[in-house]
Amino acid sequence: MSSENQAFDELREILLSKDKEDLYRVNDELRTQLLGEIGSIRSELDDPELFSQKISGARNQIVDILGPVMGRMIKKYIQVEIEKINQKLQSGTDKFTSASYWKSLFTGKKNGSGTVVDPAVLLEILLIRNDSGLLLAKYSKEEISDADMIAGMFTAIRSFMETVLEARKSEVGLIDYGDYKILVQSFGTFYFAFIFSGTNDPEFKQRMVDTANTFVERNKLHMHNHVIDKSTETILEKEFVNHFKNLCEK
Amino acid sequence: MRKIISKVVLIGSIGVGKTSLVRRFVHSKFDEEYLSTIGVKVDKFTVQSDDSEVEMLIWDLAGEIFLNNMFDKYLSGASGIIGVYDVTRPRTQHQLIEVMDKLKLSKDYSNQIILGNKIDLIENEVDQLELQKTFSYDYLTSARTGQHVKDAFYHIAKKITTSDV
Repeated sequence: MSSENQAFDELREILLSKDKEDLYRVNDELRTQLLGEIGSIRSELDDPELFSQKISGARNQIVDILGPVMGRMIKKYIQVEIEKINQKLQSGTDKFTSASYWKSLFTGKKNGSGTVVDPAVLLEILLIRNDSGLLLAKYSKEEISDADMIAGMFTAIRSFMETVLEARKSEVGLIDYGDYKILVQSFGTFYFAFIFSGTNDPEFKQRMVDTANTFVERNKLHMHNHVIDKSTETILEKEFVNHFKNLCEK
Repeated sequence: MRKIISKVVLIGSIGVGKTSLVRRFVHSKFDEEYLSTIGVKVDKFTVQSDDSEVEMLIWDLAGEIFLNNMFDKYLSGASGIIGVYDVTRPRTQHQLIEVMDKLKLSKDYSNQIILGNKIDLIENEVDQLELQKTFSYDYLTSARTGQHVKDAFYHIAKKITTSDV
């Protein structure tokens, strides 16, 4: 085996000897050329004025080469910074962007923990028919609105979005309006609108969605009347209030 | 007493007086700017019909939505449709009747009435008689004087309660 290897090595030496010579020659030529270039660059570098002229003359080429690299770097930097800002807004840790900071500034009332976070406070839950916009049931901590009208207008706005923008109904969506937020969770023939104030906390959001899901599972039998009969509505409303009471009080 | 809640949609061309008819009957809570912005304004009022209390959510549709045939989504789930045209503009009647006839084909939209509005602008008795002979309507109304406005809304409420039995 070793004698075979030796034979191959000898054969390679014989066959490549010419190439090896060429390689050494090219190498020497390049080295000489390179040393000349280095000498010239060194002299330019030693002379700032000459170097400056060289750079100015090659501005377009430099931009061509560095532009995409710089662009990627800047884009990445901006993305990272935006992500950081989003995280701060989500967690409510940036006091200047928190509504409660400004509230405490004007009202003089301070948050006990020192950290300025607006907890999500559920104000009203509406169960609305997708097609007609008729209110099926509601639960309110305080009577903040004429729920029938709100349900109608809210559905009209959804119809507008679907008609004009050809937007499809999404399962969960969030509408942000001033201090209030409306979380929408759509089912086949009806949807929930959770009206709340404070930070859009994902945990809170998930709790609402889960509670809505369990309500639907338990009460699907009551949700198929085209025209809502008050007696049916009363049963549904009772169930609704019982089901969502705990969620609102948390 | 039985209480039912229903959606009623008002349709018709631009400027036929739909919003004025609603305004004659209810005090709007929403600004009318909604009509030009999203094409709809919702109002609510309750009427007594026989042994039922009918709470109607009235969707007042902008004429542009009607003319551009973009009202399908807005009609969805409606228990009643009120079609309105302007008696001084025959074209608005033709546009309305065409749409109402199509809607009649669907059993979902069988509760409908047609109003010929702005009857107060036809002062001449001969013209009024001629109009009654040639135009299609359930009521000739006037949002300005209030003529037959209440009757029209009670009529649609009655239709809804009857069909719901």
